[in-house]
Amino acid sequence: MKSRLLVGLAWVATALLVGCGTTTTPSSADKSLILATTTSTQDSGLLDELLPAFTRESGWQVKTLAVGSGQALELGRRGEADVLLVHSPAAEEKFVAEGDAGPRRLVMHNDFVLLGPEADTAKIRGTSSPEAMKKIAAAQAVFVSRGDESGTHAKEKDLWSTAAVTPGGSWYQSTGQGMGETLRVASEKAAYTLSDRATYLTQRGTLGLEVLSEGDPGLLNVYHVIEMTKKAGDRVRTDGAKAFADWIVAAPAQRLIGEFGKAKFGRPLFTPDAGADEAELGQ
Amino acid sequence: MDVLFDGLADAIGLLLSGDQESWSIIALTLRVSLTATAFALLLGLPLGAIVALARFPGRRVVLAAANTGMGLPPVVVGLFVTVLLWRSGPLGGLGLLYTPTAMVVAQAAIATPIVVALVAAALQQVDPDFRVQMQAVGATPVRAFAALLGEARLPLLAGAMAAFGSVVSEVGAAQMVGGNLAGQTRVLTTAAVLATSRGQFSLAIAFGLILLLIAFGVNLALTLIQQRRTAAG
Amino acid sequence: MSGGEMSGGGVSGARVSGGGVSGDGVSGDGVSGAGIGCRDLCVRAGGRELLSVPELHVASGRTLAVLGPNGAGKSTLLRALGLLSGHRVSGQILLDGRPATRPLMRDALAAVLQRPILRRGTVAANVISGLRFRGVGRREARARAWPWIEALGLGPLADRDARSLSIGEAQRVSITRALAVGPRVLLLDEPFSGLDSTTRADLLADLRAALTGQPTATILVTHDRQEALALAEDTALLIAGRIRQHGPTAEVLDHPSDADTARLLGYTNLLPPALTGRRHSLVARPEHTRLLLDPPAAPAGQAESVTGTLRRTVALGIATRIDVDTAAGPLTCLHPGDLLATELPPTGSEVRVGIRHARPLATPDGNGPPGGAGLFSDSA
Repeated sequence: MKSRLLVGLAWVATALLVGCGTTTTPSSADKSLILATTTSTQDSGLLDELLPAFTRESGWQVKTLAVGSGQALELGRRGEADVLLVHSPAAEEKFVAEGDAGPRRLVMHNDFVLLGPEADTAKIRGTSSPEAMKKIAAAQAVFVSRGDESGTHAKEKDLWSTAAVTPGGSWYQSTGQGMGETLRVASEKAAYTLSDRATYLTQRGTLGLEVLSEGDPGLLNVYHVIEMTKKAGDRVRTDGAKAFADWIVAAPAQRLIGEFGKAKFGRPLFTPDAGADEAELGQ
Repeated sequence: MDVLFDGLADAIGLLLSGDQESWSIIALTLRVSLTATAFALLLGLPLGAIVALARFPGRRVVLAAANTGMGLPPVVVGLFVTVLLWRSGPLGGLGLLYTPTAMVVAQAAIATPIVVALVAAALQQVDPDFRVQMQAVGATPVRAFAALLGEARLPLLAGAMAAFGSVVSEVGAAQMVGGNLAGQTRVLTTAAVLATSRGQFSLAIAFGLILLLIAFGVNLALTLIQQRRTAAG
Repeated sequence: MSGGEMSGGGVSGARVSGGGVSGDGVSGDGVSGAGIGCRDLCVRAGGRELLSVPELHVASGRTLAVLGPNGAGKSTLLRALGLLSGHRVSGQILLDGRPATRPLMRDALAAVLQRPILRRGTVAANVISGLRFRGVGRREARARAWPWIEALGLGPLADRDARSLSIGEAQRVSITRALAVGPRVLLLDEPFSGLDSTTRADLLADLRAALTGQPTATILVTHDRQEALALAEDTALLIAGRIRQHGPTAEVLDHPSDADTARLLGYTNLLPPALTGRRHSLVARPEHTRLLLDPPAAPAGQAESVTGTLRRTVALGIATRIDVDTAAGPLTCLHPGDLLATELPPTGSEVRVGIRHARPLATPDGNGPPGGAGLFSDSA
């Protein structure tokens, strides 16, 4: 009785495992590439729009790892990802200079916004970003940081240094989590935080946060696509990386990016920038 | 509070509407976790039996290791498996990372120590001379062992339930080795986490409720088997 | 070394006396006939020798009791003979005169361990499990087992859940399960220990009746000589892993060869030569040892008598126990009935103790060479 049950279990297990294998093996062996990108592109839903179109047109399956920009770059460095879509320009430039990465191209931008509670205890509404950061620090108003080496976190550190403030103390709190979770924490604590506009807009309905400072050139959030090369690892799919990078800067994908969010939010969440001059963005 | 009721409504809606994506997530969850449990049983049952019944040096160490393994954080297991399966890792050539197979491997690794420890405990509850007595009235060693399993079937089934419960509800390893790829490796736990980070709370709760329902269903089935056999004597 | 132990003293003579092992005509001498036996059996564990038996044989249709104190290696011997041992066993186990293989033994053997170990399920399912293991169909197994269920009085319990049984009932089921397979070799490891005396007496009688006339070679391991008397034609005394004596039960039980076997057989009073002036130590049972309350009436000659100090008296209801310290150690007297305290001398007074049926030991206790075997027979 028991042994028959065991044999049965073994069969079920084998059948299931074979099943698991067959559904994924063809794609992973043939045309499958790994895209390491930031949580903002996934949490905003942009990738859900773009990737099916890419797969349909190119035949490439995309495995998306939505992580912080820091981890995305690290995965690229180790050859664990084929192509990166990231928004941490300073770190990217250093990374490209290391030599393992291939071409790096401008894809799109949106902007960061400084958010806070309606009461705005630090009185930053309408100020420029350096001014706002100074006021938050001076008021010791609670500020929630991503603290995860993501592009947003890198941007936030830029802002502090521009404002000549070294944040610290009990008012400066770090979640170590993605943008969605960090917004949630900031909202619950009635705190200030920095977010990309896309993620904020998609979640605005459930948050008690308002845009208090926006629109200055220092708050631009610029996304680049970076192809990895075989120098990072033998198994890097350079062909897939090139296919994806070429596709996302081409006109059809750029149009999709420009349209994304219009229907739901009344305005696009991202601005397509392929071929533009980075220095002139936001002007 | 509203979000809970919305979640309940969403859960019912997802199940009734036959939403393709949700059903594929449910199917994958069941497939991965049941397969992982089956492998954990295949591996853990003999190991647990050896630990419980054989006398060899280091036996207690193995038992202590299995008991420790019961509390192994899934994230740690996920990290190990990820590093092994990385393109640059020793098993990178298999191309298994971010596939359901990788999730099965990681979840089986999580569940096996649980099975080993609970099987060992289950078999040690039975009289140590049980197999000798069965052989002493004519059972072959294999029949005697089968009789022992039959004798301990209640705690053994409890072990299987614990193993399934631990893997179907874990998120750390599934996220890390599976990557939460839509349509490929997205299971209920990782889908719930994603929905949460997207601010779709009622959807996240819906996934959570469906997960609960699945765990309950599997445990109910096993409990019915367990208790039916008991009643039949 | 082991050979000398086994045939020590006059006991080897008893082995071949009338009514003994070879008397039934079924088995031949030695270990070649039908039944179970062993040659040069040695069991070791952790580098220590647990058991060493140069030769043993039990013929079909006969029962051997292996009597020994706790830890003597009785269960070890039984399991080694049944090829059930978890220890390292060397030597030969013989089944019907041929070296036993596991499949042959599995076919011939049924054993009952000390604790009744039953499976989940009904009494009937447990009783037929031995037959089921042998590939007999459920229906036929039930038909074949039923006479045994009736004979052992389990009929009314047949459909009870085995887990609801008392320990006595469970042991009954365990024994019935063994008998139901119709074993050619039956090994019983203290099956009556842990049972109350009434249950035990009933089961003993039922088992004796069941075994009579069966072509089964039975070995009963026990520490109780009453069980040996009730069930076994032959008895072997096992002490510290060696068989010290082996022969017809009645003879073995009455002829201890040394202090250890004497204690095992109930001859717990040891009278060394220094106390009696005899050449050999004497041993006696407490019930044959009496306080001589009326010294002048002491019968001379036939009984030994020694002096000592009365240490204490204990009323045991049906008997009175009196402990006396002598120059060579304590003696225990057992008087039938309840002695009145007024009849007894006070504690600490000098008393005389008379001993009937004292037996000389062939081997003096402790140092000194073994005595001649012939001296044995002149004991009263």
